[in-house]
Amino acid sequence: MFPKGTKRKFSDSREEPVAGGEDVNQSSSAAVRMLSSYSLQRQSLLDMSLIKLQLCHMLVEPNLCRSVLIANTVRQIQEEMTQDGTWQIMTQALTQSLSPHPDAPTHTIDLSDLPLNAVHHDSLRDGIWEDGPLTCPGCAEGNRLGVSSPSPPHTSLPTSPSQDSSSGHPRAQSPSAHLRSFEGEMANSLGYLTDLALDDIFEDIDTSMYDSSDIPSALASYPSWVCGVSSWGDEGLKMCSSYTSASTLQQCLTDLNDLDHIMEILVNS
Amino acid sequence: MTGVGRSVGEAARVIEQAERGRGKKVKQEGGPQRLSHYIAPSFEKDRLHESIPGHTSPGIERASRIPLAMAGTGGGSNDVQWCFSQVKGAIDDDVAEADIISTVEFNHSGELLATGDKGGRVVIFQQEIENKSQPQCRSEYNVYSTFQSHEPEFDYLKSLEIEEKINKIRWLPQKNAAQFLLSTNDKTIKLWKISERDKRLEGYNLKEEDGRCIDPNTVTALRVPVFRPMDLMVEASPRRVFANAHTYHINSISINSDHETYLSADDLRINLWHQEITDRSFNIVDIKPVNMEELTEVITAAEFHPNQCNTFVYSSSKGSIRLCDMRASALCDKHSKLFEEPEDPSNRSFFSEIISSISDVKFSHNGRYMMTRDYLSVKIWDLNMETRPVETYQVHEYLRSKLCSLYENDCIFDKFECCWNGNDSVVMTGSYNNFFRMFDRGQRRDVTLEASRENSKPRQVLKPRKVCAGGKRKKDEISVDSLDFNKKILHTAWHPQDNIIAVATTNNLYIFQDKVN
Repeated sequence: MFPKGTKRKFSDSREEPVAGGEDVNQSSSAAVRMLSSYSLQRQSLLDMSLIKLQLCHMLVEPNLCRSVLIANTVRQIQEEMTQDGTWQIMTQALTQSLSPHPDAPTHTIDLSDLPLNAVHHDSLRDGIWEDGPLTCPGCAEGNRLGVSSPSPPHTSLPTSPSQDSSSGHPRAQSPSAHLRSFEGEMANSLGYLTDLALDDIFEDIDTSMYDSSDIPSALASYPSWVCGVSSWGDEGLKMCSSYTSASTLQQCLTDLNDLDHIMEILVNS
Repeated sequence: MTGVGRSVGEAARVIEQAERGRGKKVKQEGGPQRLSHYIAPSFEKDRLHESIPGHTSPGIERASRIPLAMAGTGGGSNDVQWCFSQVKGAIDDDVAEADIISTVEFNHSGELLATGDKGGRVVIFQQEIENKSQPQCRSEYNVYSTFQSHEPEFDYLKSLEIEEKINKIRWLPQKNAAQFLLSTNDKTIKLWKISERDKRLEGYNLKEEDGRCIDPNTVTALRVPVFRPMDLMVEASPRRVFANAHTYHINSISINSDHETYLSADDLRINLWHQEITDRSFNIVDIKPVNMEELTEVITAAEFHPNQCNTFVYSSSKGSIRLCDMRASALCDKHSKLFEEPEDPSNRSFFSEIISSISDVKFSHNGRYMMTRDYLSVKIWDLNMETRPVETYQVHEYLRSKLCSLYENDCIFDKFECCWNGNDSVVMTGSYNNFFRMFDRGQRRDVTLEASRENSKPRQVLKPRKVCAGGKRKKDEISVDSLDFNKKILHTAWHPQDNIIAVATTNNLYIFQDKVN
């Protein structure tokens, strides 16, 4: 559900696919803008939460209540992202980011067939974790990040039957379109990032604080491009710009991407 | 300002602390640093008042005092008008971290008001009434005792520093001339005895006046030592130390109505103690999962029922309250009642769980209701109805659209407390910008007041404040974006009988009273 009073903001770079697409009717593109704005908001919230968790762990006096609340928020977001397939896309893109595959799709994005209700908000319920940690199929198969060969994009979503039935829209076609769209966006961004000599840029930044084995492995799941998001709906309030740390995430890429490892922080504290 | 047998002067008080286990008494001149900050504003010294010889009399029975509700009796304006009475603490804006007030608590008679701070110190104020004969009279709280309750410690096993910040203070019911209170930091609870001494013995046979020993062989005659009056000295001594029972941070202590036991609660466990026994405690609630990775809920507050010594409640970070009966089983993991309100689906957001986390739970004085405070509201629950609260009051609903930035700056994790007035008709809680709110349950009215130095003229009536949530801002309203989120009122306390409230801003303690004709 969109937070109340959200003002829709979007960055122009995200708009390109829509502008480039043909025959996009107004209502659907507006919905798509709202959706991608919501996704950006959600993503930035996720990043902020992960960084908070990391800072929590580094504090002299770890506050258990705070850590649990933030971890639950992260779980909620991951849950939702898993349902609409974004989670797998991100982990996939991360794999690709390490070694950009020449066959990575760079076609223009056609978001016209992106369904309006692709993002679910009515299944934030407890008990979703009773089956164990949610991992994307690729990762579950042992396809760890850092492996050079990217796996083909997934076309199936690991949703339970009840969620499928409650979605109310045909899933056959939308996942691939959904995946393609996000994948394409990320490939574009990632191409830019991998072109740069990242080490040179961040050379002078002291990252000794982050060179710890305690770094939550879940941080590894998120490609560095997501940190650049700065849009949010709250009026007059700044977001996220202080939370970018691409170098940190880059360093975590070799860890496992299982969200439950966030709890290791809590166990250690 | 001299009363009978006693000198009233804050700086002149000498605090003596018995060194635990060392058997010697240490005289501290002036007490800890903080005393010097308690320079009463000049206007306070102008008022004459009698000193009260109340320290030996038992606490005043509740029934004999007429509790004043927020709405007065009789016609005309029924509202209580709150006036500034006193402010304690440093005036300058530079807040020393150690001076941050972390808890405020009146004792059972309301005569004493205790505050704890981040530096581990406890300061107790005593009420001195201007004119006892009138039922409504001006009273003033002056420093009675100051002592260092907790010191910073270091846990060598975990390489963690244990903060000396006082998380909670709870007064024990008075049994004799001395006062007792429990104070706790994150790990250790201490029982302090505060006693007065206004006489001293003179004429020992084996000891000189300056303490030197007299050789018994030189004594030729015996005399009986006599009592001589002396300047009043208030002594605080630690009588019990209850340590090493909590792995996680203690958030609550609550004294049982049986006057023998008390509970202490940390994030995952609740322990039951006997007031006399320090080396043993019983664990009565344990919500720690076998696998810590499955942890999703923590205990945020706990309290004993005011009348039923077998009943206590604890609140959680998921917005639920569990009532437990200790007669049912030794381990109260299984609750007797679960109080939970189903979520409003239209308000759902990623922050729903965080704002539903309960920061404080308080029983009403009559024991029929309990009040919970979550981030945006105060809820009153009837103990006989678990499905939903009987009353809900919005404290600062205008913050709902700002939750994301409040999450970013961590304000969303602020733990506000709440309190009842003496006859359970009004509840009070704090907010941001040094605002605090009162909700009159009977009159269905609420008011927002501000604790600030600008409104600190003697007996100045507090003007109700209003926050403009959106749209055109009227005169005297303050817009949401202008609120200062660093000025938060987390701790408030209400005198058990009278309309006297203590409101703690970051490092100042404000005392307000209702207007006296």
